[in-house]
Amino acid sequence: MAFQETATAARIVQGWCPIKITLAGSVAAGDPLMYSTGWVLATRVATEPPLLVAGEAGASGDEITAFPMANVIVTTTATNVATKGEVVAVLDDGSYAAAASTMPDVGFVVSVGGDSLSAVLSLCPAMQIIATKRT
Amino acid sequence: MAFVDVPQSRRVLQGLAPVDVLLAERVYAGDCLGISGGTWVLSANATAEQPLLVAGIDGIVGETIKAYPIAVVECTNTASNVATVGEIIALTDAGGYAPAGAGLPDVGFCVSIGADSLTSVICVIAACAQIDTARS
Repeated sequence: MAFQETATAARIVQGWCPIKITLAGSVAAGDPLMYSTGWVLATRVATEPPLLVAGEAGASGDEITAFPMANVIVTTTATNVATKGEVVAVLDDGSYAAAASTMPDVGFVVSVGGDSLSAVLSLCPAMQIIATKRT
Repeated sequence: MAFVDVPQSRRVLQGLAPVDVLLAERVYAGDCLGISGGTWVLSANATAEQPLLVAGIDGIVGETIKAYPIAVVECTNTASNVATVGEIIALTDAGGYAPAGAGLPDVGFCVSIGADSLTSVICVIAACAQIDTARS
């Protein structure tokens, strides 16, 4: 079966270029974030793409550290394990899964745990919206 | 009104994976750099000068400076020309930052604005749009 993470509260995050942001909703560490009258979990809003990765959990009003680029360890079941090198997207509920149409690509799978119950993702969510060259 | 930034010395708050580059044109900290004739210059109105790096400090012709493929930059603006958090940021033909528009290269997005609306913090991933061809 295709990759699908199963426990968003259990993620471990290593990030680069830390940025302080104020949340407008609850997030878990490693969540993709979008801006919708405040920084919130990136869900399905076509005009508001995922831009950052939450470095820590927080609730509305909290100031947290977020990253434009991060490695995130996610939990999977053995049947939903990731495949090294596959492109990773964000589902409508903000969890990570195998790329598919209508879902924004945000990174790729770096490695899979020896027990097939975890995977390391390399994420840079904004890359998919920085797409226009100078003409 | 829309976000307006002009090339000027900006605060580069974060930079990732620094590289040394030899300048062939004067640039300001936070400017996007491109290649012209095999040399590093301000990425301005020339299709060949696509943005690739972000200048870490001010520099003049002949100087070697630190530059970054990814950086967080604080821009100074007027209150009426402040950015909007979350909006996509592009480069103008003059090399300043502005909202995305036709013919302008996307380089990043706005992370936050100052409480006085006189600064805008943007995350710049300069080369992102240039790295786009899949193996075939």
